[in-house]
Amino acid sequence: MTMFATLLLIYLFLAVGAYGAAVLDEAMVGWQSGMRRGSVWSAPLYRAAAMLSRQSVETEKPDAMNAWLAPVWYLALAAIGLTVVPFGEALVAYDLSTGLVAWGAVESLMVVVIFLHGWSPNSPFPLIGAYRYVAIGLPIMLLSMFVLIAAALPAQSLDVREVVASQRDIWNVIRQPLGLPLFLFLGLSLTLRGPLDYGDSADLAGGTSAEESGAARALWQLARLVMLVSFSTMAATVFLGGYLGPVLPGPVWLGIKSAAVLALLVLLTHILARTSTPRMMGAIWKLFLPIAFVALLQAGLVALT
Amino acid sequence: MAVTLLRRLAARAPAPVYPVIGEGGLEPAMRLGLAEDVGFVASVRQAAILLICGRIDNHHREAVDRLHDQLPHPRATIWWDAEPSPGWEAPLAVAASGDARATVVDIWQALVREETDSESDRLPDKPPHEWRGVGPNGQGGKGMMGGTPYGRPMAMSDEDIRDGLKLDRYEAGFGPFLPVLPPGLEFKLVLQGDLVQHAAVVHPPYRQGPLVTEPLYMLSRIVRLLDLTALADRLLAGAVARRAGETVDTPALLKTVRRAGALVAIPPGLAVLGDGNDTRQRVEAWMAAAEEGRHVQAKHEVPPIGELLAGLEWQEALLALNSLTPDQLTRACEKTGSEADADRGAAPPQQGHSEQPQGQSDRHRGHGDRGPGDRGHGA
Repeated sequence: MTMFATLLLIYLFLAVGAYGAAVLDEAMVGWQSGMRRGSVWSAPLYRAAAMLSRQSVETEKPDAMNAWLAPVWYLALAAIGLTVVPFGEALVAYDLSTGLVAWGAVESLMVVVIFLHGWSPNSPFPLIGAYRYVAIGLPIMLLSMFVLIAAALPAQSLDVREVVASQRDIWNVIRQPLGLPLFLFLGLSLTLRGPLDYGDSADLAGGTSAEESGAARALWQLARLVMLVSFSTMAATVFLGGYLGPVLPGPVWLGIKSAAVLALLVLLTHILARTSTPRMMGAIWKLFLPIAFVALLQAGLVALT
Repeated sequence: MAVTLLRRLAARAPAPVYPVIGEGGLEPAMRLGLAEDVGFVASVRQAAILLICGRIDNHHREAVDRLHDQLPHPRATIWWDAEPSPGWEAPLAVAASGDARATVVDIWQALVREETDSESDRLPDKPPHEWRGVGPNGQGGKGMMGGTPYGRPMAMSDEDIRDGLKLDRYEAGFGPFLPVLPPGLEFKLVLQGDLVQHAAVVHPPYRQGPLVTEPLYMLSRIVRLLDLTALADRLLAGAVARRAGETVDTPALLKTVRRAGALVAIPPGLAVLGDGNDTRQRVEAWMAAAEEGRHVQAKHEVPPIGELLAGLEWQEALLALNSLTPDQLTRACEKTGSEADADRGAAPPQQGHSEQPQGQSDRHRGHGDRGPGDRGHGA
């Protein structure tokens, strides 16, 4: 019964969240570009309808199966990631004692999914986008692993429910100040956004989705938004105390906190420049990974005392 | 019912337009792209309308046809201040002084409501070279790896100029109407993954009006390459407004650009000209020019394009190209020989960059036998 209720909650979160993210994106683009293109509430729907009403072009000799599977996997992984997230004390779809590891598996499979999306059209720009994403996605995954292990330390468990419970007195975002900023790298890269959009970049005319049109394009864009919601919920759970909060029910608190993370990610998308792939790769390995080590050390020392 | 609702919603979206910009077409096209009900797109696949704006060279007509065939159905073509190609049935032409915006919006509505027929392919849907059944194994050539399936030579591994990883090198055409390149600029590049090994110019950029040296316009092109699309649109609107003599809050705009880390994001030491003048310094100089209300004037001498781009990663190569003024770019193109020089070793400066030798012209870019898939994107 609770599992059924939680699964419904997951779908509700993903659906409402994806629409909300599209509206926020529209608003942020309008603010940053100084141009309004209709109401922010309806513009994403019109654009989606315009995509859906057009032909999905097939390229020359595509890998048709993987072209279809990539967005499906993207959506599925976003939903799977949420199954280990508690929406309340007893509201979790899958009470896995190694929930953080399950989320880690979702992250690593995402590298495969985005690569396949760039591989399948059999065209240079999507393929360059795919390779770029792998080069950046791999070290960022390591970064997020350190951060998640640090978050597991005070809970003394890899169970996401325990990680939330350990934040009853103090949230991880305060206890481990470097954690959330480093984890946001993963959010931007998983959803191909702004400063970490190495898969679908503007210099490649859309990278892995450069050849896509019609319903296929709409599905991929939707999957990006859905993953954004899933990531934001995970970040709110691990660093902002998840469902914990006074008066309001757990799912509502989780929704509010996730929306805050999501809004921050959408803002960062439109206000930060993206540097070239070799430079970003150098920065992650030589600067951000050592910082993540320090963060892990700090979290360990705090957990000991 | 559901389909009708979908169409009614789609009709309210901005018209997705892929601009093909010819000589003198840049400024009117950019002004049109800023309209509320028109949206310029980065890839032909996202477009419903192909807009040819300005005079295009006759040997680019085939490139226009090829782009046209890559648009998903239903699609339409508008010729704005441009002479339609022969063989186009009842072309939709708009005079230079005409209202292209109204035409774009009308045709988009008609396409969505299926009140007009979608345009059929211009080119035959077949491989550009005969290859099936040719050679001992039917692979289109001699020897194990000598085939040219789909008219493309097999990509073979080669010494890497970056990190010693021997990746396959392949040759592909880019331009002349790829939005990240200046309009008209057409290249034949030898790439190794995302790394430019050799660059040969097929056609230099088209001449444009004064907008091209407006610093805010140049800045918008760089900022777009850094994935700050919304900010790039704001800079473009600022550039167009300044051309129209309107007042623009330039200091506030430049502050936003700096805060976004645009300067930091440009790799240091990229495409150095003269005495250590790199891309970042050139962009800084434009920002100074923007504050003083000047147009950009380049002082430095430029090497041939091939020298400038060799060894750069794709995004860096585009940043380097877009950091040159049109004059510098034209000179760099003139110094670079035609595509024959793309062959390794031989790179004597030659003229005649605008001639495209026959026979090789459609390699890598032709139609496959399955659909309009095209390797040389934005051909």
